[in-house]
Amino acid sequence: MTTLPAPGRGLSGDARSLDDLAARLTDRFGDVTTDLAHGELTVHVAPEQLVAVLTFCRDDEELGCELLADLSGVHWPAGDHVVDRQPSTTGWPEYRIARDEGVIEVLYILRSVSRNHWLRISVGTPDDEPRLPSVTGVYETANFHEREVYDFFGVVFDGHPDLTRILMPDDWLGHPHRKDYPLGGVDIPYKHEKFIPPPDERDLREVVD
Amino acid sequence: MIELTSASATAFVAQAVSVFDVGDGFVVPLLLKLVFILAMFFVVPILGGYLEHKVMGRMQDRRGPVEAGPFGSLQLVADGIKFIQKEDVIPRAADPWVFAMAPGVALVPVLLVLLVIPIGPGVFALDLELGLFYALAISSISTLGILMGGWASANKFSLLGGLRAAGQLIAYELPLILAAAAVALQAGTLSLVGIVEAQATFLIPGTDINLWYLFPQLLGFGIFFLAAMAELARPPFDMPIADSELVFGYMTEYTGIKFAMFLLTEYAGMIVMGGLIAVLYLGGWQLLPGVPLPGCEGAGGIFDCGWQGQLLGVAVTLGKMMLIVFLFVWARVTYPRLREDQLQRMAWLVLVPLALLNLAVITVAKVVF
Amino acid sequence: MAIDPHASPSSRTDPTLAAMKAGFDDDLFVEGADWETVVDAVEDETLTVNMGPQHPSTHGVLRLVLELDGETVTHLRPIVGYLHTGIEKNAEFRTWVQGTTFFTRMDYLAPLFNEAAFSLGVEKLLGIEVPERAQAVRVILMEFNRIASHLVWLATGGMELGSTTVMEFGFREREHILDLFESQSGLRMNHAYIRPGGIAQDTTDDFEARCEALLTLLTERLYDYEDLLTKNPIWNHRLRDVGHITAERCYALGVTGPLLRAAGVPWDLRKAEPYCGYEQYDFEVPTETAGDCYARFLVRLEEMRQSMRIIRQALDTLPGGPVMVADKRIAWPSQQSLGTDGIGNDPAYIRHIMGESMEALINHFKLVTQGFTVPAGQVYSPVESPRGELGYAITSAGTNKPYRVHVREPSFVNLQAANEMTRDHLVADVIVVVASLDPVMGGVDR
Repeated sequence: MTTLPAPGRGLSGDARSLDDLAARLTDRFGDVTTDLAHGELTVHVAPEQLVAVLTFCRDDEELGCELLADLSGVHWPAGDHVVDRQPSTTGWPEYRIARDEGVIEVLYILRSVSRNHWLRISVGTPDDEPRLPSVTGVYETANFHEREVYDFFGVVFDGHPDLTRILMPDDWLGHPHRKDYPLGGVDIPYKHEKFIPPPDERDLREVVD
Repeated sequence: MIELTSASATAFVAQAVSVFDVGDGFVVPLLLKLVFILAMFFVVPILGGYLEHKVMGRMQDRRGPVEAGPFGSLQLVADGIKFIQKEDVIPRAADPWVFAMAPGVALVPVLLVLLVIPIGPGVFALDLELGLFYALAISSISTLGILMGGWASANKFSLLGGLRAAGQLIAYELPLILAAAAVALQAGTLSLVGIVEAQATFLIPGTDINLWYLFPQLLGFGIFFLAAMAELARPPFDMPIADSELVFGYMTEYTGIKFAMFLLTEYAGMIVMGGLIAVLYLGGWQLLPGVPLPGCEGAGGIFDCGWQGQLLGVAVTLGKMMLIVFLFVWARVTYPRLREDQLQRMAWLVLVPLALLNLAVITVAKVVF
Repeated sequence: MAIDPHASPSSRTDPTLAAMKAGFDDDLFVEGADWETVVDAVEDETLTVNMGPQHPSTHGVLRLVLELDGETVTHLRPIVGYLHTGIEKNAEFRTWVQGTTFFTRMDYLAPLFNEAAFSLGVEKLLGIEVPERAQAVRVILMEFNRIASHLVWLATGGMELGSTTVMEFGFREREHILDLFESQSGLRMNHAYIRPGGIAQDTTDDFEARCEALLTLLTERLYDYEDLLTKNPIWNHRLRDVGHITAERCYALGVTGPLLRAAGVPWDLRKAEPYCGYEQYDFEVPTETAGDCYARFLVRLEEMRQSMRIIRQALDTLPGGPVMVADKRIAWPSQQSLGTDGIGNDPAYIRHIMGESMEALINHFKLVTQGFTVPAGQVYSPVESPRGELGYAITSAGTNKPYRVHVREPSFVNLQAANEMTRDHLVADVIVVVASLDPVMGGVDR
């Protein structure tokens, strides 16, 4: 049984530092890694641990995350990418994305109303056959979010009650938020079977050899 | 109608003589009456509609129509012309005959009710003995038109709207009739002219103060007013239309002239109900209780008037109708829409018992005094 | 995945097109038939009604598939996506500053919140602190925006209940607020006024006087709403005990904002995680315990009052100084000043970049055409929008464009509660409940 704060109890629980939260999660699940940046705690978990970690976050007295605030995806395709920089004006170091295999990273933002903290759970799944367990059994609100991630990234959430497209039309092909989704160049059918070729095909991203 | 006015039905026609009965001819009075009814039917609703536009505008801190005609007074005429020009669409799945007939079935009864409503000393088309009965019976037929429109449109919103309308009109017919029955009981007649006459002669028992039926039957007036608003499906009782829930209820699929006919039904209905309320509760064309119109001092002060008195009487009645329309509009801008179950609960649990109570009290009072 | 995402565009579109053409003559039109055949075909007693996407009270293009037993709703399924414009995807191809012009168009009733949440996220990634004046102006305008958004909620909600007067009143007052926005940003909506690093330009000289006048007006008009609605018997009947939801269910369904507060939880991100200097201001988080539509009405009405309280304090303590970070690598270089044509470039600045400093010109050129780069990383930046928690999950790959921006839209999430809140209610209540959720389809569909 979940322990939820009674009405009126929001903000009343004792605050826990993000380090404490990270320690609690690593104590309970040995093989999760945590990462603290920009004052935000990110917990990297394996797909098979996902439901257990989220259930723990919800039910644990210390973590007490009643809300699944957000669920989103990021696609990191395989390959070597450098994006255009302007070190002469900014002075920031060059950044390079290099991954052996494409990954779709799904991010869960868990929020505790009673203790006023939040943390991010990050889980990766290969982008050629993305598949993750659904967390709708833990947080009902994940329903729409998971449909959205399925719609945009093609991640199949096992156990989702109704995994259909949500924002794109039902008969849409492809998953448009993936970085390998072809952009531009959609043929527009005009009258009399005439097709006018699209003006250009926009580059997906700047790829440097 | 011709039969009714001729000798075979004289038993149903009260003695009051209409100003349109000029001479002994048959055709001229008939034509005059037709002109009168049609004028009542087409002109007065436009006045009411204009009043609604302007009053609503004022109450909502805007100006209302300003462009069409002087001060926007011809807005509804312009709307009517626009509706006539619109394409008349009949949905494929609709039952075309019933669909086409529905606006007419809704509209004609309103026209027929205007036959018996007196709007001035002698200014009426027909004074039936059963005038009140006739008016209430005929106006119920409108419901049929609405139900037909809702069913024949083959649209779920229309169907829901039509069914709501049927439920609502049945529920509010009863308090309406019970409240009207109390008036007929007190007046001792069903003739609408007779009711006006009775109000001119009604005195508070034991005194010589003349009163309209509004005052002894304040409860009845309230019931009749609310029930009339519900009968007309005016906001806050506009569930059959409920533009935010059912798109436009039974009118959803209607376009052009048919839609305009439904709209005219609503506006003309407001006028008819305003006229009935004026006659039943507000003393008809009398200016004030106990005060005869100038020029009408003879014969109880309500019939024997010169032409000025008659014109003044017409103006007074129209004024009272517009007052009722104003009250309808006031309610519309003040209150949100009721819900269907709240509406039914109000009819059966509040208005019907109160109307029965009103009837009982009036009966006892009538017997005692 | 049934299709190959790498396939060329033409092969992607062909199958659908062919299917469309093949089915065009047969399937797209329902042949006219006697209504009886329709009735005979119905087996159970329920009626399925498609409310929307073309419907007067679905806040744009929301589609609700209602399962009706008589007029009682047994199931409601919200279908969204009709207004999907791919803003998140588009933003990946625009610079960080251009991003604000996109995100401001999502929840078009609360554009400044979208700009602020995005800008706060970018600033978090950049690790910069925005000048105090910019923060205060942000707060003032956001709170006015909250009032404007609640006014539209009141207006459309009233309209849907059949009360046209409320509609007229709500939009009337909102118009005054939009006038203020227009005077400051040049646009009534979609301002792109709050930007990473500060705000687009400093306020006008009469800003404070305008705000004061607006506050006086709104204070007075809010009493009018109370007079008209709070004790209005039909308004009470229609809203009370309708669309009830408990705090526990709010948590499970991710519902935040006025809905959660109306269920009794004093949860407000302005208090919980103060941003833009909200910790300086003294205000209360209004709550109600009933959890029904009437409680939400009261909460929103009180929130407008609290917003005005915040604005007053912010105006009293409005600091001077710059409205953009001093860092020349981030701050928008162009200096605007009022010219003869109403607006134009500052002649002194033009002289500086054109005549005096080549580096300044290069910097100007680079920043305007390419924008600044943002260090790689991920942040989540939530703000309390009028509808609940509005969060921007921003991923930067260290470029001048976002790698991925995902928006946690409160309208989108709250819509999930619609089914539960309308079960066993009447059709008329569906309208009330959806109005009390206050979804903005621009935000839901993004």
